[in-house]
Amino acid sequence: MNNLLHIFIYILSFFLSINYAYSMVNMQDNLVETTLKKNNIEQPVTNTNYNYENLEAVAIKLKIQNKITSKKDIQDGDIITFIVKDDVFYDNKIIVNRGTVINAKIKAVLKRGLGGIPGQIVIDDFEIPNIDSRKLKSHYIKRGRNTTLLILPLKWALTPIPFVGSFTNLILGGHAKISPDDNITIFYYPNWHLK
Amino acid sequence: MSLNRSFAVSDSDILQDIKIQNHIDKVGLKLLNANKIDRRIIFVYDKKDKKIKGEPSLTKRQVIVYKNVVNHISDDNEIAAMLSSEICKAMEAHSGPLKGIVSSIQVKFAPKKYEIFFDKKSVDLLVKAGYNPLALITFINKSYPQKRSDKISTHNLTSKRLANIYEYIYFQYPYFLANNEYINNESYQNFLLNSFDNRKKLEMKIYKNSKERIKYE
Repeated sequence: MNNLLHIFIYILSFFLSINYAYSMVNMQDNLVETTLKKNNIEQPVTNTNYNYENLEAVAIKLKIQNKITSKKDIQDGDIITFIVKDDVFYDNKIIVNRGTVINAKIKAVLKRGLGGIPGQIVIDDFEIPNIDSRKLKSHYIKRGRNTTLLILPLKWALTPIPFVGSFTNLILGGHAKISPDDNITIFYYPNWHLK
Repeated sequence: MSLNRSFAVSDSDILQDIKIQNHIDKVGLKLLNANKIDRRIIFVYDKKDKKIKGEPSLTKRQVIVYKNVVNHISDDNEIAAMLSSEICKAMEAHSGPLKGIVSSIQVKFAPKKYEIFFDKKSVDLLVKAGYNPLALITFINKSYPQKRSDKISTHNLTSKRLANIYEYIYFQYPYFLANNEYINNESYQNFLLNSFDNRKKLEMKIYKNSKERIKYE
């Protein structure tokens, strides 16, 4: 009985030592282990089977529901809502009704910067009912006012006066803004056959 | 016979270059097509050793892949990761005033401003094309040096870029972290080892359910 116990302890200690050695070599990502692995997470949609041969495109005109700006309040991953401005027809049938509320995602935000660099808001992942998102060309970028074109001539003009030209670098670009008055058009290609 | 042999010997390097070029073209074009990027961008393999620079992407709208960079690559995901960063720069050179000239100047003179923005866009490009975005972490971790400080530098600290990429993947594409194919990759493990403090900051943000931007180091 004692022998059996000893063998059991040896085997157990052997496996524990291997496990310890393994954990020393391969650092686990505790943040992921504790916060993500409990959840059932879906695999993101990819677009690897495409055929862009067909030219037929249907325009979908949108307006944003609430004004957003790169200045504040928005960040990557935020969901924003748009409203379809006109009925969308394909084959003499309405495929999206006017007034339909659709969601899209803010993919990236660039704050405005010195030297006239404008802010940018990048929006994609539009979710339109009954439309395959892989058949949409919907990558939308809104930029703020680009003041570099003003800065460069001003800088060159002021360069003869020592140091003064450099001050023009402090001029900022404009914030990117999307308001309900902006016309946003994305395109649906119904015959882009996915292989 | 001797002619054939000499032809074969002298051409082995060329054939190897063609093989690399074809592979880069294949991955690069897949990134463009999968992301529906309707701007012409080409990919050129250059055997010269140069520092990682973005200028060709900006001026000629072409992605130059240097040999010393290729040497860091260990799989297709990492090729895609390297190309996606440059594609983002080339896309910027296609947009804005004067057919992208002004945007190119801005990216060239203020790369620090754009780096993290492009990194996030690169992750999106990779995911849409079916590549693993964690390869961007492994690639940057082994190919970009860590500066002492970025206070007066034209570039961000590499650790800061990596932390931002990790955070972006965590919130936008958690699938890749929950099913991590790179957990046993040496470069990824090295990133985990070096990013302890930054990941602690992210952990605090998650537990506090905060939306504040983290100041990574």
